[in-house]
Amino acid sequence: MKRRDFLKTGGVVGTAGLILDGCGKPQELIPLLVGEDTFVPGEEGWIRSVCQQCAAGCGINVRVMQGQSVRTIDGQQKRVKAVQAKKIEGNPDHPISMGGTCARGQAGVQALYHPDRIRTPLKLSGPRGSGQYQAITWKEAQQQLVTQLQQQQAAPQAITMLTGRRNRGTMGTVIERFAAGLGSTNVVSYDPFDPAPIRKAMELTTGVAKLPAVDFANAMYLLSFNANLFETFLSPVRNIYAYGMFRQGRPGMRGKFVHAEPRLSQTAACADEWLPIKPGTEGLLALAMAHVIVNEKLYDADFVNQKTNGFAAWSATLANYAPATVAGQVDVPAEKIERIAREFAQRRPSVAVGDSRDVASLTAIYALNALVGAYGTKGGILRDSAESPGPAPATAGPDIHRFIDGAGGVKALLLFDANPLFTLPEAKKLQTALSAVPFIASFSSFLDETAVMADLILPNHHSLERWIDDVPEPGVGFPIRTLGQPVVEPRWDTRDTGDVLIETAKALGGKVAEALPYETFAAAVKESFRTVHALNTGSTVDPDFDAFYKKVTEAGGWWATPPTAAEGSGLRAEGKTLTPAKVNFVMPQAPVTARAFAGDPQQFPFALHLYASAAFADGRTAHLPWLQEMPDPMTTVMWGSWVEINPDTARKLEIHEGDVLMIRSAQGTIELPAYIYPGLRPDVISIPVGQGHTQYGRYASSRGANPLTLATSALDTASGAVVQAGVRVGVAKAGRVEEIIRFGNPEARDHHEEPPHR
Amino acid sequence: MPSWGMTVDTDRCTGCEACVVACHAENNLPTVGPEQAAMGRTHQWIRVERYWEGEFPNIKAKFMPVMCQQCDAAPCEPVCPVNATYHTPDGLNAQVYNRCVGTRFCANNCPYTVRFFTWFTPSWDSPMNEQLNPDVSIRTSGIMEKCTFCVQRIRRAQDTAKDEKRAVKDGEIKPACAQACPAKVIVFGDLSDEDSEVSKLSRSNRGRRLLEELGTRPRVVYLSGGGA
Repeated sequence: MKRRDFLKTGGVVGTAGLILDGCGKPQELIPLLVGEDTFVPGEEGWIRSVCQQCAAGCGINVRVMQGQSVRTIDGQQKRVKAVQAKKIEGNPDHPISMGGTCARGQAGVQALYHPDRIRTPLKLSGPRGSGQYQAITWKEAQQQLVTQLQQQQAAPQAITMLTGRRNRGTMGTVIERFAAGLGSTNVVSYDPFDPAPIRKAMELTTGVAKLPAVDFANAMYLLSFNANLFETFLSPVRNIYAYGMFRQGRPGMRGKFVHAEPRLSQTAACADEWLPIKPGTEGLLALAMAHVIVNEKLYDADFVNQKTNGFAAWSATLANYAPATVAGQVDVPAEKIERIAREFAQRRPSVAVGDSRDVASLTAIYALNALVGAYGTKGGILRDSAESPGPAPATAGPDIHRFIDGAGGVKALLLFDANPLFTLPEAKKLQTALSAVPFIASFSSFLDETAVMADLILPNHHSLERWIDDVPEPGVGFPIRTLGQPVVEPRWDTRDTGDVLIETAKALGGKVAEALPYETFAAAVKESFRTVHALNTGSTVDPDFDAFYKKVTEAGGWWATPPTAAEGSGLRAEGKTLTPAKVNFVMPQAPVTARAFAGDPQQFPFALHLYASAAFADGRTAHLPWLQEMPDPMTTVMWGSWVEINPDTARKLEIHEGDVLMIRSAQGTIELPAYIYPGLRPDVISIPVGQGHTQYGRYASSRGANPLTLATSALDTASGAVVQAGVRVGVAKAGRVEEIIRFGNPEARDHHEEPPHR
Repeated sequence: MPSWGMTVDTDRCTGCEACVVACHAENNLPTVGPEQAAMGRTHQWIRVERYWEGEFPNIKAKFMPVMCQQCDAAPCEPVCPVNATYHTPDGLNAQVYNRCVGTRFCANNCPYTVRFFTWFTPSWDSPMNEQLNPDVSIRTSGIMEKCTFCVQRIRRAQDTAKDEKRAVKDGEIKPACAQACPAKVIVFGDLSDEDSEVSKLSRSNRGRRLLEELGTRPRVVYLSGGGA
């Protein structure tokens, strides 16, 4: 009998990993029979879906195999055969991911099989925040939700929906329609790293309120202001793909990359030149460069004359931003600003990209692209259509601070994919506000800091267990609709939130039932593809809608131009949707200045630089052990958090690696071990966001500190988003030493780090 | 007989570590938790090394993914008293887990420090074990393990090609690290095929091998930065 037949007779699809589950101790058997290099593969399948680990919207390809699963059936533990998700890869045909994934994307499968997932609907059985819940049935849970909402039907504005990042695709539509049908306009959305200021800057500049699709894969010069392109900025997988092309994807050509940021981030590390600017001066630096380009007439005159508005008035304001004038504020020598501005203007195609909290700085940065004619061109900012190929995101409701102020009037709160008690700097105020809300329901899959405030939890499926669709933003200059079908059967007794809302609407009747006239959420997703079907073009065309939808499901979505296998053809700037609208040079409402950092400089000598961690972003992936044990790309730290301090500053303050520092701001104090970080300005303290959970499962909770508690946030009236404001901090040694867990041999450390004094 | 090799283009690498997590997912690498991690006992068949160069403000950091170099003259092989580490005909430096008695001589002799000892029998908090890849053995305690170039993927592709009565196509086999990488840093393929992408890249004048001077004859070629 051949080994393959032996395995087939055994009724098993693979080898050791699976058999281990099935029949005793095969690890003592199989490798004796065959070495690892002579193995016979079992059957596998691949199903396409959409990654939900961040907001980029990458298309993914999930490997499934049959395996054994221990389930409780009628109170008894039984082994059953089940299709299991084994591995997440990028969908090679998807225009965003181009077959790649990031570390967080890879770890999505751990969220599916996480031991601390909420397994059934739960009803609070102790005080709020205690985490004491009792399991109830879906019938009871949904009945409770209906009853609670019915009580508010006379005054529906007392019902509020609180969401995290913008809900795109059909889920966004369903939440919005559900609220509108109830008669509530209170859909509050809060994201601690909300890109809304960038969207607003793009709207002012190009007339299209969409995040920029930056085609730096085809650029010769990339100038980045604070944008953490390869960690968390907008579409990291797309950005990393573009970087590979930018460096080595074009024979004989290699782009130059200059990055300005107070800290040498992972992105800055990839740059040819890093400009360690003072925090909050990115707008000034951009204007100084614009001054050089305009003064020396290095701009693309044809583009500026024919395709832009407002150049004359805007360029007149540049007189105040001569490099010699702002060099001191930005802390970059004037000659360097001039040289880089000249390089940027002359090595076309060049493109500038920026991340900032204020719209005026952003319009200054993105105006550089107008000077070099980078709008709507290959290697520039790809022009996006104002229309959406699918459900468009809802318009913003009240911001979270208005919600806190008006929480007294809130009678029922529904939480969707949001954890503001972790991500909002003013979490304490929010906690007080939430305590006063009589009824809170959460659709969370995990007991996070906010979910533990809920009276009722109706756990959603993991994204691999449900239908899911998306319209990625930023796109790549042509319409994309991503689609995912359920990859595996639900592992636990959870339900698709879309279905729960549709059924709740039906039970409530009236306007809300009319607003959601779908049988199921799956039907609503399918219905949303009618618009792209009607276009009769793009990656999938079929006159029959059902056949079309089947093909789109298998492909993982529909996009306007079919992708080709050849590397480098991913971005098709020359697409036909480019109607050349004029680009505006945006006059700032007030002169652009360095952003203020609140706090007395004597008491708080350092500006605080908070950045989204490469592994955990805003903390939403801190519950996954693969990411906890992934060494941070810059510090190699695992399983913890730290505070970064410049080596010279540390020497002056006699701080060594592992010394626990008390970091104080006007808002509060946290304690973290010091990491001597050689790529940081001496006047800045930086801390990654993501750790410091008090809830969120066994791997995330009680690990490090949450630095957001040091910050403040406020509504930015220009963009309508709540953004973090700059704060200053002071540091003092706490008198303790805490070993920072780092990858690799503790004996072999970099030359920058002096041995600890212990 | 193919001769497997790899190129790593560090000029494309952003240090994102998608490869590191992909390797955990593919190869059933356990996480060991903070206490064991502090003792250097994590399993990272591929790691991304980060090198600081210079001092503030003229400082740079560079990234380099490092995995088993599958040396042709592998220093790990002759020191194994039980032949647990050996060379396959297609050029892989393979490990037979059940022969390994855990002397750790091989790890001691590896100049690239890419071999990992299993200090404990790994466990996964249920139901995380449902993610485990059935194509890859679970390694018990007391043995050495390391990057296999995703031999299970090589054999799967060969098996499929055989069923379809054709040769394995260039680019058909992608180790988990190469498949995950958004920047296409890692290219894998048959070095005996002069026209394969990996062959062409490995002949680039940007290429070098790690610690070549030791005479280990690594099968991984690093393409370093600068012009094309």
